Amino acid sequence: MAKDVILAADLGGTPLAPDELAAIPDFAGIKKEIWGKFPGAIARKTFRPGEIILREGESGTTAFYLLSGSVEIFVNNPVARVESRRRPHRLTKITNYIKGLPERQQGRPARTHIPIDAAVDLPLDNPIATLEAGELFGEMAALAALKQEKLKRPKFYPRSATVRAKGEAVVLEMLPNILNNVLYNAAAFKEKLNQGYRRRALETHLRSVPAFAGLSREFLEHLRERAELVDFQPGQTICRQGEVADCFYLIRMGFVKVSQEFPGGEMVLAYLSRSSYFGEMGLLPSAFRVRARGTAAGQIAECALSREQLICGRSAEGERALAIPWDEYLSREHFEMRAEGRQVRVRRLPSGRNPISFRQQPLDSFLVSPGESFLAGGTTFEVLEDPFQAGRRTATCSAVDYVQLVRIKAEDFAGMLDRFPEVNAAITEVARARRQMDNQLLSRVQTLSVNDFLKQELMQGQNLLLLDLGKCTRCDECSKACAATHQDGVTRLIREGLRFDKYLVATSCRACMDPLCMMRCPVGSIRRKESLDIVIEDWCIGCGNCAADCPYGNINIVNLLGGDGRQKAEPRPKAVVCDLCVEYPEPNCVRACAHGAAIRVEPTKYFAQELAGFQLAVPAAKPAAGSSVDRPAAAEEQKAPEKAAETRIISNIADLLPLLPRLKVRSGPRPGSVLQLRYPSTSFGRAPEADYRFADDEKMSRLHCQIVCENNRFVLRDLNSTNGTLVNGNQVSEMDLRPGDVVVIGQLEVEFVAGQTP
Amino acid sequence: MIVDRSHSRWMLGCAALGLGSTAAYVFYALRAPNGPSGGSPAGLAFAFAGAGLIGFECLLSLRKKYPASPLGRVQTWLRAHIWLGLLSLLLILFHAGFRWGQGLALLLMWLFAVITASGVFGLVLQRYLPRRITELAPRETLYDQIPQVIRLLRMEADERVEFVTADLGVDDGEPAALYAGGKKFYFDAAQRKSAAEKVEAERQKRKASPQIAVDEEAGRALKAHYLQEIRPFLALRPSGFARRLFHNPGAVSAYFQYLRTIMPVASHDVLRDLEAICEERRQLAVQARLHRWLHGWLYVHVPLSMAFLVLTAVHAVLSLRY
Repeated sequence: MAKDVILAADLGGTPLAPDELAAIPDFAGIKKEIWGKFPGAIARKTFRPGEIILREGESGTTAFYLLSGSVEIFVNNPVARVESRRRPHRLTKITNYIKGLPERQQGRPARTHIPIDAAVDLPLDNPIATLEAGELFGEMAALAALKQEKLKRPKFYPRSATVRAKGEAVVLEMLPNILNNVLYNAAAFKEKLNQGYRRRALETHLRSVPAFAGLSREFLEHLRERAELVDFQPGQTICRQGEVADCFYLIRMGFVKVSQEFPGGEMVLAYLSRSSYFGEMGLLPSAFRVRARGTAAGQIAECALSREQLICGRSAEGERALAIPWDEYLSREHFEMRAEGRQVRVRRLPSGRNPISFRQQPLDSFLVSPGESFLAGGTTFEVLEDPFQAGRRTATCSAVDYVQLVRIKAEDFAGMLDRFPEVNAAITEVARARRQMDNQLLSRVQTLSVNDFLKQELMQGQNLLLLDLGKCTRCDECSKACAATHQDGVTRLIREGLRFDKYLVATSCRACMDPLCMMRCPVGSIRRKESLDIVIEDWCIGCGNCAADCPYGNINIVNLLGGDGRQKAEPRPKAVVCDLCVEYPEPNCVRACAHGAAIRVEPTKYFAQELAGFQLAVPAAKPAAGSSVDRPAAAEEQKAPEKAAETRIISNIADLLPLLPRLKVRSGPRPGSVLQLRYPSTSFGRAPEADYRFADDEKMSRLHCQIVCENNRFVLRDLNSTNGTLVNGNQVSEMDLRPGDVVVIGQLEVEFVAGQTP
Repeated sequence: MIVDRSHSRWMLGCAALGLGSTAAYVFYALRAPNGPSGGSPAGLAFAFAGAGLIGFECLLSLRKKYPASPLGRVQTWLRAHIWLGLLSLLLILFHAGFRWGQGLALLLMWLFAVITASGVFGLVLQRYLPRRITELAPRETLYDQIPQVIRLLRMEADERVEFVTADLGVDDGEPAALYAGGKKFYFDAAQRKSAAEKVEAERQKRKASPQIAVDEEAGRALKAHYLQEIRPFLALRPSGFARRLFHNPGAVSAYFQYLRTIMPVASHDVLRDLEAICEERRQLAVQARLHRWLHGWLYVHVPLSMAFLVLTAVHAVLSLRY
């Protein structure tokens, strides 16, 4: 059925013969034989002034090319009204405080334009624009339909705006196969479209990035000329988590999935659409750290390294100096280091007497990459990436459908950073915020296999609204509070849904790990905030895609009255979803429940008892904390715990996890993070089946080693790995781990840390 | 609200205040030359304190109107409402000197007694009825939606029976939803037919002739049982006979067990569906009844409280002025 719709349909209008198409100047270079392969796939239509060509919200599978005339393109749905600039009266302030109304946010809105399926975006305060001859619109809907042809029940893409002929307009309406197989392959036509985008929309997109908001026209002109337009096919990976980030992307067309890998699985952070952006980390200047280690224990020093000179020596002084007092083979000021691009330049100073050895050669000047080391005197110097500033991708981005991106390379940007220090500061702040969010997400995501939890619908969400039916008097105050909270007076909460034990899982946003609702919004109005709450912006056109895609029915399309007081209010469809009352200290449905029946929980912790399928007997005595070097006699140690230990049966996984030891990452991916051990075993390796997978670690075997809990001991076993497993510097095949032991697995160095005492 | 350990602070606090008030009252009553009086300084003090608490009690409905207010959670306000309400009863009794008075004062005392009693009654109901609803009506829905759900159940039942009997000859008016006997239809661009048109075609086909083959006598029997016994129970207000027929889960089960013995096997799927529909209808009736009990006391408590507040003001003005 879908195939018939896409490849052959009655378009109406006047079908054009290959000769006629080849004669159109805009299609110069496309041979008529190529047109001949798609008979009936393109038709000419003429529209009178004022006639509607397409309406927002309607399903569509065709694209339009404006041959002559002009059209108006606009969003018919009302957007947020302009707030009064008058300061509220004191009494109003008091009553607003008592009512608990949030303060109005001052400053610029996050978005100034509404992204639509055309060569131009619409200004938020006046969502109307004009398209002239030679411009294309509706291409996203057409390409999305192309992707659906294999599906039994295709999900057609709604029109993102209404198009109306301004004067007499002649358009070519075409099926997606024409767009994809003919026009996009014609270099001249493609270049024309790209130039149109650069001229009309690119500057708006660039200014929508907060870090670029204050850039001068000169800088924007510079970026506009250097920006590349690159295409990606559905499913293609754009960038991977952990890769060196060397460019920044703006989305011109299509949807991009942004996801992160955690020890417990993958989490989709967002689906980004047109005029969104990602990869600001790629614009950061490189930042490194240098770590110096001597031959004896305790001889260690570390320092940050940037493009400024860093002097290293036995008694180097000053702010930009790294002193190595223990090494008598180093001169007072022996060598200097500075960052050059993605590497570090090391240069021996004239005062440095002894040579510096790098890759087993004595050198006076050389470039070191992150992860490499060199020897000066008796000290090893290792160059590391600064974990807080390193330009590494923090997420994997992949194309959901046909995606076109604007790529800006870091080298094009770097030269201007000195002239615009505020941009440098803005990007650094973004990186810091991303890193902080990263750490917060890592601590929120459970370390047990997410796949197990995904089998139960409840676990897909991270935040459930539960109603305790033993306490709920069915007064509906929660729903009334929700309706009172939102200006449109529509409740996002429906007191119906799945029942789990004595709880009702109310129909309310679950903040899913994979927010499918975000995948097909034609105007980018549904998005995820940093706190992972889903919000739907005012310019939603009510197409219903998000409501259809939400697997739990938590998004509803309602008719809301619009108008700004000067025109008659008409009901318009809009999507509404619970946003966890982001503007308030806590969800108002919970706050309004007089009986304490409404609670917000994280399901994996709350339902842990139901999910736990195993029990662990743990000794009541505190595990002996010893250094990795000093060990009491093993035989005596094994006898003593059996006498003194009591056992407790732990069934609740939430109680169990804190008792298990952990591994603190000292170096390698995500240094400083903590890896939770699992029960009864935890495996490490590059293979997908490993509990902790480090796919990029070339020194780690596919299944490198595992840590097994046996008889209240935690035993490390090497699984015949190529490079071996080290404990406290010694290669082992099997060893009981004690708190404080340092384990090296490939490039990963971790410290074994005791769990909490019960 | 369930009164449990989390109320202990309120209990202890109000108990302490109550004891203090009692001690003050006893001291005052023993020393008063003509006995305790509402117009004495101590009596007036008790009156103002009690009236103040009563005024606060009436603010609960206002608090519920602004759920985001930073002035404490609604749960906290309800706890205050309960315990301070009981304390205010004590204070008013102290004000009145445990006399019921005459005229307006007598009316006020009776009103207050009824209000307090209805509040305590409501508290008891709230402890037990939510659990009963959960146990007895697992298929419950939103109370306001019960009529709509019943209507949809009836339509669904009609549709199921028509698979066996063809057209039943009943008409419920414009269907709120489109049913097609469990099939799903999508827009077919090639045929350019909407889902509604396809569903209507399916519905007409079902009404025209039976889709499940059973002998004519069995079909007539099912139609008769359905129209005379089952369908009346699926009305918004079922008759007494229908209610008695399906008064508990056992009765529903027994009825359909009987039907399964007289109807051919081909129709047993339909009978199973009808049994589920009737059981859901029965549970909705239970839910509605328990919901009315759970909230009905408010129709006494709230209006009387408003009346009491107004009359208290009148009483205060009259007492102080005259």
